[in-house]
This record gives sequence, structure tokens and C-alpha cells, in this order.
Amino acid sequence: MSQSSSSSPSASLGIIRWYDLAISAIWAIIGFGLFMRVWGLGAEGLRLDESQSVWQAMHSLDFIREYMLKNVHLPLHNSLLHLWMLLFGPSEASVRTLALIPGILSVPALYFLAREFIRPRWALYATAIAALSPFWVWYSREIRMYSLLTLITIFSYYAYVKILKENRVRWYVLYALVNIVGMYTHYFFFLILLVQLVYFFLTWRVRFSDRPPGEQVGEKRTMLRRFVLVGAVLVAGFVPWLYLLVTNYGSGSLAPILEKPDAFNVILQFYEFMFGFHTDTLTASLVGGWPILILGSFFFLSKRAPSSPLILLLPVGILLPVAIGFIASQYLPLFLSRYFIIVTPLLFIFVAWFIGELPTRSRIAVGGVFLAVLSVLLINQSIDPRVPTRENYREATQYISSQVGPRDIVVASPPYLVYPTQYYYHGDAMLTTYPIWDKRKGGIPAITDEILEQDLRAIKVGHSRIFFLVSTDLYGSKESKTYLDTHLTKIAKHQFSKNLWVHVYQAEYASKASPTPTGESWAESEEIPKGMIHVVAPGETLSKITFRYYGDYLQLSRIQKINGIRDPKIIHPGDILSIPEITPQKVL
Amino acid sequence: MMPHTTKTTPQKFETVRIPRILSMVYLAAVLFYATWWLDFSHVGSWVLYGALLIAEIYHVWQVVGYLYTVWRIDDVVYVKPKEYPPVDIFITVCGEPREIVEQTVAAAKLIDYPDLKVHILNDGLVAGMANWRDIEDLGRDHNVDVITRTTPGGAKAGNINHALSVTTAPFFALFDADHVPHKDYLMRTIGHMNDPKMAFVQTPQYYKNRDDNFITRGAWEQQELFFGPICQGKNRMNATFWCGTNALIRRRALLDAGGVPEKSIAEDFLASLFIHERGWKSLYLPEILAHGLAPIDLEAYSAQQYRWARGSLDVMFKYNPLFRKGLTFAQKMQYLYSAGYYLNGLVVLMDAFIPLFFLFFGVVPVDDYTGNFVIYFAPFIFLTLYFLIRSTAYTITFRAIQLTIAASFVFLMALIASVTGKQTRFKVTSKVVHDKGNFISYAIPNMVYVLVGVIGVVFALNRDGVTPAVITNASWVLFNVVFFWPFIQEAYPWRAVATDFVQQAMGIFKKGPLVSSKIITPSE
Repeated sequence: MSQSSSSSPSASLGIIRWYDLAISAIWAIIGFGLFMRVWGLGAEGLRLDESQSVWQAMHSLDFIREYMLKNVHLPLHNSLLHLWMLLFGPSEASVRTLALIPGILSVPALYFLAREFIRPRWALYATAIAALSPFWVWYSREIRMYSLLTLITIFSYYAYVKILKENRVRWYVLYALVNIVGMYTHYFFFLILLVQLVYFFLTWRVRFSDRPPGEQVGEKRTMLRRFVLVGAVLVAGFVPWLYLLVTNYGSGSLAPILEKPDAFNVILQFYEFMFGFHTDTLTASLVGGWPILILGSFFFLSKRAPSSPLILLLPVGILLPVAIGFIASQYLPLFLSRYFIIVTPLLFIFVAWFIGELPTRSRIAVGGVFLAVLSVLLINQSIDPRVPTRENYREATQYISSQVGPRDIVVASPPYLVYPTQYYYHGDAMLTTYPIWDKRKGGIPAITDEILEQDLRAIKVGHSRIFFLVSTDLYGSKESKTYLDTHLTKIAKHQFSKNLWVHVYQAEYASKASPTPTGESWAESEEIPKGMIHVVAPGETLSKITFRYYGDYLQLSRIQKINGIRDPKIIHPGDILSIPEITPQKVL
Repeated sequence: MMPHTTKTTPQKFETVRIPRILSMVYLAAVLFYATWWLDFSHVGSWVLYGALLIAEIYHVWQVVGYLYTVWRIDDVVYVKPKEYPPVDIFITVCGEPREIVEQTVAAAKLIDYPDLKVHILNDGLVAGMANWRDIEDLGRDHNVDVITRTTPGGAKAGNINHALSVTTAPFFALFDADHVPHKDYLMRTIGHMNDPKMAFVQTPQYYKNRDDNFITRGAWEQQELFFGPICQGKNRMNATFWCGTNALIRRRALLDAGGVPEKSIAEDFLASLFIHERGWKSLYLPEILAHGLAPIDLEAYSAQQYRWARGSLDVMFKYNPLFRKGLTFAQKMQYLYSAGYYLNGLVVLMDAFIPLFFLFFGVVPVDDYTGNFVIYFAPFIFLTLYFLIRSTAYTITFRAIQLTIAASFVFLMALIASVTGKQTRFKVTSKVVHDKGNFISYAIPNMVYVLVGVIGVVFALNRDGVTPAVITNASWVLFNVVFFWPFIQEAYPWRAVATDFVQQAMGIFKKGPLVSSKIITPSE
């Protein structure tokens, strides 16, 4: 593309050189973006969500399936991660490489998708945006399903556009295959299918193919028939999972508790799509410049040819999922910017199209400035330690590990912080959560004063210090921390990243330690187990408890042994049991 | 794109049909936006909020009016004439140079029509123009009738009324001295006069010099918006008004309305109002059947805009269409929209000054966080732009809008003059090329805004540091500066000065004397 004919008259040489220079610069930018994905991949500790992926993937494929039935996500990604870890181990760099691969592949894939909408040089520009996109870079370095979801989304749109243009069987086959993968990757993928459906009927009268009109007669009807067939395949492919969902527990009991979004979240979301994650001050300043965007849109007004109807797919594909997500979230909050990463491929193409449509001089200026801003923001996101999404569990947990003794207890709050903590924790004290939570069982317990009081009593007993690991921006952490602050004496506190703190409280003085009901046994056992504690509820049997934590009864003896229970049939409500954690090695 | 050659089918403005669904969505977005302003829990400073509220009501009223105008656009089909009644051609002249008038006269004589008489309406004598005799000579040379007024009064309106008193044809076609009719002008238009209630047929103004410079391009692109969707939309409501030149008029209808009103400088606009009041019909034919000249520089453009603004605002204050009997509701609305358009200047300036209040005094008009407002504002503004693009068949330009906004101070002056009833001298649009003139006096308000804006931003940065509020308001100042810029850019040949300066500066590094000879002998 950057080749210029050598026989060009010298008068146009200047222009050609400029053009070549611009193309080279864009290639350099793409290279830089890819480098920023790879650079120091394993250097940062696992974040909360990543450690959840890793924890789930450490279990058997069956467990992953069962667990995902209760979760808001689908099993494909963690199953892949399970297999990946069998091959490459659970280190940070290893697991993140699984996210990196689709993250890198998305960049060239976006080029091919963009070429279906805009001229090659602007498709290359869209690719540069994608390569530099701090949002994409972030999720290419996070072991969740989002980079895979992005790649699959691009494939899905590519096959879809090819179908509209060429109506060939091979594209339907590709379309069906990638959509099945997509459906098992993330529930929000269904919004892509909805966009494609809506767009298909919106443009019912538009003919996209360049074949002679005679062959186009009835083409849309043929397409519709084929789409219905593909739809049937997709439904058949998804029915097994639906069946499990219906017959099992029903989804959602492990759903994260999110706030209901307001309009500002929508704005912020688009800023995150474009500019990534930054400190609140920087983000607020970026948002504050919004009149510049309005001004920029005025530059779009110029004499032009009407846009291709294909361009309409871009705003529909960007706005429809966000609008549906926003409205649905007023009833069931599920509005997180990463879920909507499915709109980013079209968003980047749209931006490239928009800039490419500006009058020549504005195009060069706006295009250049935009890439420069993205580069700066990408670097900032990569190195600024105050970025709120940067979670330093590794250091926090290492700090705790080095400080605690056998008579202390480590408490994570909100309870799902147990995932990153246990990944890194190797201290002598027991690890539990506040409120006490059994992560295999279901959602986090509701936070009421009764539960906080009851659980604090259970945690406090027999321990001298409480190491309270808390992420202050997460739901429920504030109540827990306030409760501890008002009921215990704080000895120390330490901050590890924007929202991550370790508070140390005095629990009971070592000399006053009183035996617990089943006490002497586990307090005196040689090995202090690193796991959960469980308060026996009325009607619970040891076998029920065992099954709930481990998924099989064979582990009963482990609980019995570690808790010093002589007769497994005799346990009492209120008894406190220690549930040893299964270490990764044992599962794998 | 639109050559003015005489062909069998003339160039015409495209008839754009906007999908009804788009209009509906757009209307919904406008109303949605309006609801934000009616929620008074957002009020920060009541005074500033009130100012903004008035401005926003005006904006909403304007865009709803535009939407209403272009809601449906009908094709105007060619009507074959049943008969060929006598037609007078009036060419109004008031001091224009002979060469310019000559082109128009020559073209008028070539108009293809069986019963035609060309008259030059020479107002040069009563207006005290030096060249009025040239025009008489021109008439003699071309063997056309020259009607030279000797009794002054009523400016262009008086000139036409006088001509009507000495001519007799049942129809007359009116051309300004610089608007050259095409050969097929009458054959394309006279058929519509088959309808005995048809009072006038207006055709678009086309600027053949549109590519000369920034001003002519911008002026032409504004005409494209007006003679494109707006006038075509007015047709649907029988609300097309006479736009001064390029119109074919039924003498009886004009006389029925009392002739051309002489007290207003918007004599054409007001005459149309009176004609419609008496139940006559009008038609806008979107075919280019004459070509004229755009204002060529900042002075001419300012004068033209001032005249239009003053005339329209006078009509609104003295003959408010809302209270005129005999007009349909749609006609009242259309007249009000067209006359009220020039309030735009005041509204733009109110908007432009709001951020300055924050920058200097820390006063905010609204108390709501950005995100919430943007949710209401973004669909409104983006759909407005898209709707403009669609309704003008992808011809609207940033330049056209920029040039309108930049003229806000001119509109404000016209508004003040109109309210205070100050007399304004009628000024003819410049037809002479003043290349590289100095028009800084027209751009002073715009320059002051830039200066005050920059000081305000520095001041606020010094006071608050880089806060989101400072950034937002600084962004608005930048927004306004960009829109006000064309007047500054066109006020002086800056570029030539800059080029000159660079050459001088480069001269220092060249061989030869350190100071170039040009500086030593400036008289050269």
C-alpha cells in the first residue's frame, strides 16, 4: 500500500513522501501498541477478577461447568484456561499469555474488518487506534475472557458483513462457528447477534453486493432463509447449556453486586473505551473537555458523497448494546464497561471513518493529534501506579504473609478478595473472609449488623491480631470496615494501591485465648490449615458440608481430621469448622 | 457543479425526502433535550440559567421550525404555459458599474419569450450616484428603455413602484443589476402563472463567483441551505417569500397588496406578507435560472447581513406575522421563523459569554454534573448535525455555519438598531473586488472576544488550577473562538503579511546586505 510508482513526476514526489512517512509512522505506532501489550506481562500481581479466573480454572472441567451455572459467566474461557495451565502452569505471565494471544490477534483482525467499511489507508488508521487503545491493551493483559470476546466479535462482524456483500456459503459457515464460540464466551455476545438482526431488517431494501441487479432479485430472501438456518444451528449449539441452566440452580446466585448505573456511567464508559483507565483527576479532566468533541463534530460538515449504508452498522452496533445494557441495568444492574468491549471494534472503525471524512487539513491535524493523545494516555495507563483499576494484591498479601504468626488471622473483605489473597498467601495464620463466605456455595452473604456481629465473634476467637485486607471501592467493604473500626482497636494500616488497604486490629490478647467449642482440637493441631472457616448451621451434617465445599464426600476425612472430630455424625449448630483449602497442585 | 449554461433542463436543487423515521427520532431527541432545561433543580445562578434557558428555548424553537419546514418536500413539476402574456423585465440599478449592468441587460434581451420588454430602473440620479448617466448611455447603446427616477424616496421599493406606474404588462420579472437571467427564465416560470391566484414565482439566487474566496464560498453555501431545503419546504405551506431578485411577479397581486412597501428595507419580505394576507399564492421554483454575484469581502458580507437582519427584525417588531389577519397558521409560523432567524446573533452571544462568567467570577449557570447534561445534549447536537447533512443533500458546510455565527455581532447591531428605531442607510452589496483590504473594524468585537477569552482562561487556571470545570469552560471558549474566527481571518490579508515577514526574515540568512533593499526604500 505504501508503494509509490518510481516513475512519478518530481512535482508529486513531496506528497508521496509525506504519505509514505505517514504510513511508516502508523506502522511504528502499531508496533508500539503491540509492544505495550507484551511488556512486563507478568510483572504485576493478579487482580481480583484474574485470580477468580485462575481459582476457577484450577478445578476440574466439571467443577468449572457447575460453578459457571451459578455465576454470571460462561464456561468456555475458564475451561481453556484450565487446559492452558496444565501445559504452562499458573504463573502470572503464563496465564496472561492466554489473554494476550487474542489481544494481539484482534489488531490485524480489526484491519480486515475495517477494510470492509472504509478505504485501506483508513482501515490502517483504525488499526493504529486499536493497537494504541489503552482499553484493549488493558484487557490483552488481563486473564479474563474480554480479549477473546473482542476477537470473536470482530470475526462475527466480519463474517456478517461478508455475508451481506457476497452471500456465499463459506461465510455462513464461519459465521455459525464463531458465533457458537462467542455464545459460550460471554452472555453479552448475544447483543452482537441482536445488532446484526436489527441491522439486517433496517437495511432490508439495501443491496450491498455489486453483482448485476438481475442476480440480486430475491437475494435478501435467500439470505434470510440462510440466516434462519444458521440461527437454528446456533440455538441447537446453545441448548445444552440452557438445559443445564434451567435444570440446575439457575444462574446469578454468584452474580457480582453492582450499582445501578446513571447517565454519567455511560459517558464514562465511552471515555474508558477510547482512553482507558486513569486517575480520577485525569479522567475528570478528559471528560471536562467534551465541548471539543462537539466542536470536532462540526468539522464533519462539508460537501460529501452520501455514506455507504454499511456505515450505519457502526452507530447501530455501538449504541444499541449500550442502550439495551443501560435500560436493563435499571432493573438488574450489570453495567460494566468491560462487558461492552463488544462495541469497541466498531467504535474504533467509526472514529477512523469520521476522521477520514473530515476535510483534508482537519483530517491530518485531528488524526495526528488523536494518535498522539492515545499514545500518551497508553503510556500513562501502563506506568501510573495510582490508576484505580491497578490492584496490588500481590504486595499486600506478601506483606501480610511476612507479618502474621500462627495466632493471628487474615480476613479479606469483601469476601471475594479471598481469590487473589489465597493465590499469593503463604503465611502461618488462617485465612478467612468477612463476612464469612463459602465461595463454592453461592453468593456473598448479605451484610447486616447481625451477620457482622456473629462473624466477628467467630473470627476473633482464639486470635491475637486480625489482618484485615480490604478493597474500599467494592460493595460491602465500607460496612465491614466501619464495623471493625468501631468494635476493635486498630494497631496499624497500610495502603497498597488506590483502594487496597491492610488494617491490623487487636483481636484478643494471646493470654486470654479461650477454647472454642470444638476448640482444643484444631487450635492445637500441629498444622494450622490455610482455608475457610465454617459456622455449622442447624440441620447441617458433616457430609453435606464436605460436599458443598469440595464437591465430593471423599474429603470428609480431611475435615474430620483437621478439626479433630471423633464422630463425624456429631456436630452442633454454631460449631466452627476449619475447611482446608485445596492447593492447586492437588487439583491439577 | 452548476454551470450556468442554458440547457433544456436547468440545474436545480435536489428535492430531498427525509425518512419520516429520522424526522421522528430527531424530534424526540430535541424534546428530550428540552426536558433537561425545564428541570429547575439544575439551576446554579438564576440569572445565568435564565439567560441560557432563553437561548436554549430559542435554539429548540429554531430546530423544531426547521424540522417543520423540511418535514415534507414536494417536487415542483414543469407547467406548460397556456398563453404568453406580455412581460416586463425590470433591472434595478443604483450606482453599479456599467460593465456589470451591461451583462444583465444583454442577457435579459436574449430571454426566449414572444412578448417581452426590458426596462432599466435607474435610481442612480436620486441616490446621488456619479454614474447615473452611464446607465442612460447603456440603455441607448442596447436599445432598451431606461426609467430614471427624478423624485427620490423609498429606495429600491420606490424605484419599483415608480416603474410600475409607467409600465403596463400584467407580469414583470425583477433582476438586481448583478443577477444575470438565463435564456429560458420565462419559459420555465410563466407556466405557473396559468393559475390566476399565483402572485409570484421565486427562483434561487446563484453566485457564479462562489469559488473566489472564503466569504463567497461561505455566502453561497448559506444560500444552498436557504434555497435548498428551506424554500422548498416553505412551498408546501404556500409561504415562499419574494427574495428581492429573480422573481416573476403578477402586477395585479402586488398592486392589490398596496405596491412595494417603501418604509421597510425588507420591502420584498414585507410585500410577500401583504400579498399572502390577501389570499394570493406563491411558488418557489428550485431551478437555477439566473446567476449573480456573492458579497466579495468582509465589508460587503457584513453590509448584506446587516441589511437582511435589520429588515427582517423590523418586520418582526412592526408587522409581527403572528398578529396578521388573513395568514394561515403555517404561514404565520414560517414568517416568524424567517424574521426571527436574526435573533440568532443575540442568542449566540449570550451562549458565548456564559463561560466567561465562570472563568472570571467562578459563577456557574447550571448545577449538574457534566455526564447527565451530555446524555441529553449529545443526541440533540449530533442528530441536528446529521439532520442538516441529510436535509441539504450532503452540501452543508462547516464554513457556512461558521460564517453565520461569526456575524453574530452584526446581527446584534441590527437588533439594537431595530429596537431603538435608528435609521440605517441602505447599503448596496459590494460588487467591486477590494482585494486585500483592511476591514479590521468589522472584526473588532470578535477580536475582543478572543482576547477576553484567553485572559479568562489564564485567570481561571491561575485561580483554580486544572479542574474539570475550568477545562469545560475553556473548551467552550475555544469552541466560540473557532466559530468567531472567520471575521478575524478575513479582516486583513494576514497571510500576505506573514509571507512577507517570513521572506524578510529569511532574507537575513541570504547573501547580500543584512537589511533588504525593500526595507531601506519602502516607497518602492
